[in-house]
Amino acid sequence: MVNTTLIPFGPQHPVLPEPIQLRLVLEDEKVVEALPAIGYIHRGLEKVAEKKDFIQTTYLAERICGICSFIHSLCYCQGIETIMGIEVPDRAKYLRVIWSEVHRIHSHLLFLGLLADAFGFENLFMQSWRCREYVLDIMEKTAGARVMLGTCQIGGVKRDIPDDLLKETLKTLDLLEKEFTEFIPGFLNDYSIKKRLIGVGVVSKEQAHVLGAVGPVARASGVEMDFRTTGYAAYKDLGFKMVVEKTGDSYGRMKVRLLEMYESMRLVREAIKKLPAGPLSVEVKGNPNGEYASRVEQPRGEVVYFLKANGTKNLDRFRVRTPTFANLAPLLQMLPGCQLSDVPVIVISIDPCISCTER
Amino acid sequence: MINAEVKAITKETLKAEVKAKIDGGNRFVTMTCVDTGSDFDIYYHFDLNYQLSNLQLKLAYGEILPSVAEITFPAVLAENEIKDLFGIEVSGLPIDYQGRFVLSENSPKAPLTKNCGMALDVRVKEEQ
Repeated sequence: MVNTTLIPFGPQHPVLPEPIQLRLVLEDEKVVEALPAIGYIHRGLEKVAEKKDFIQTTYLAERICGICSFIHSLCYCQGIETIMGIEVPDRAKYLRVIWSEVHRIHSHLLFLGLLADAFGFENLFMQSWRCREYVLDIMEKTAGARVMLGTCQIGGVKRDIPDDLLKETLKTLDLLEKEFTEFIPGFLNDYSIKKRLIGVGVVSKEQAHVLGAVGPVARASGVEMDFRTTGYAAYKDLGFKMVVEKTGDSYGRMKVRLLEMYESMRLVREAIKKLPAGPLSVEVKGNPNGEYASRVEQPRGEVVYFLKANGTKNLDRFRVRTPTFANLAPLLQMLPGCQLSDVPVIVISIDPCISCTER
Repeated sequence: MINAEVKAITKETLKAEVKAKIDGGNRFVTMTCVDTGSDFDIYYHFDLNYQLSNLQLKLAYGEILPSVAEITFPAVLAENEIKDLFGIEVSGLPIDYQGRFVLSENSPKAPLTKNCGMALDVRVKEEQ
């Protein structure tokens, strides 16, 4: 006889750094249905943005997420710049790429640590987060802050990275790559990790497309979609190469992120090598008037900023669709059929960011 | 106008238009609701090869929005969010959070509408 049980997974759970609840219907140990429940950290930031002027909203956008904060402000600034017809100086575009990719590396290392922790591999957890400190050091030295950089502004960037710090950044990246490469085989080849990840939480290419998956979740299922290929900021000059896997399982999602870090390091090196001289920003005159849907690639995938301005200093609408919000529907596809013990690993494999999702 | 094609639709043509987009290979991106002060603009955003296309539905205050989740499932989350934040009733939702998707029972009602009367607006009005 099959026992049916309803289990509330979260909002407080050892593998969840942020609160989300999954209501799981189980038949013995097998998950047959899952329903997400959010709303534990909704901050009403879209409403707050209507009360701030469009310059202040840059800092608000940055605070939507505590992991990929710079890329949030970049997406917002690009949207306002397009509405106002502002052409950003080339040097600012390159600096934006450098800080974006450094953010991506730190986000992926954070993910790897959390994943290792989820399946109880404490050593890899510590190695990942130890390497992440190198990246945080780069951000602290180049921007004066470890995560909330506050360097992006409408019209360009606020501060430059001097030559000596660029050289130091390159040296730190070399060290990071060397140490990172030493523990990568642990993630890719370890027997127990393969046992926990391969064939777990599978989403096919067709399902990923139909369910609107974005970022590494989509690319691990074979969907070739990465907004950096559209060439925003300075990506068009840096020869970006997309990482795609075809397995669609938790192992594939981990592997995409592992390999993406090499591409991010290459992009930072290339941007430093080609960094043009020139001004950092242009003056912003007047108020925006118009609508624009700005999209860029975050560590977790496509983020959408729908901006509606009315010619005053306040925006009419500031709407943000974050990648984790898009990846909730695919998560509901991954869970049915899996074992209860696999739920934490599958949830972490989409690298959920709940603060982003709820705003 | 948005940086892409925007097609005006009606409630009667909504499901057929969404189905045509999905059948045409588009990916459902999200939905956006805008309170214009006289009615709601509901945008349905789709992506095909990095090109955004949009359907725009005008919805009068108090009107019911038909769900399109039976055509594209990810819409169910966006529709529940709009229901919470704008107080718009959505019919035919396969998963209905009953207004508790992102808001709690003590939250302001329909906080993203222009005249929601939430605490922040009340304070701003008093200051003025």
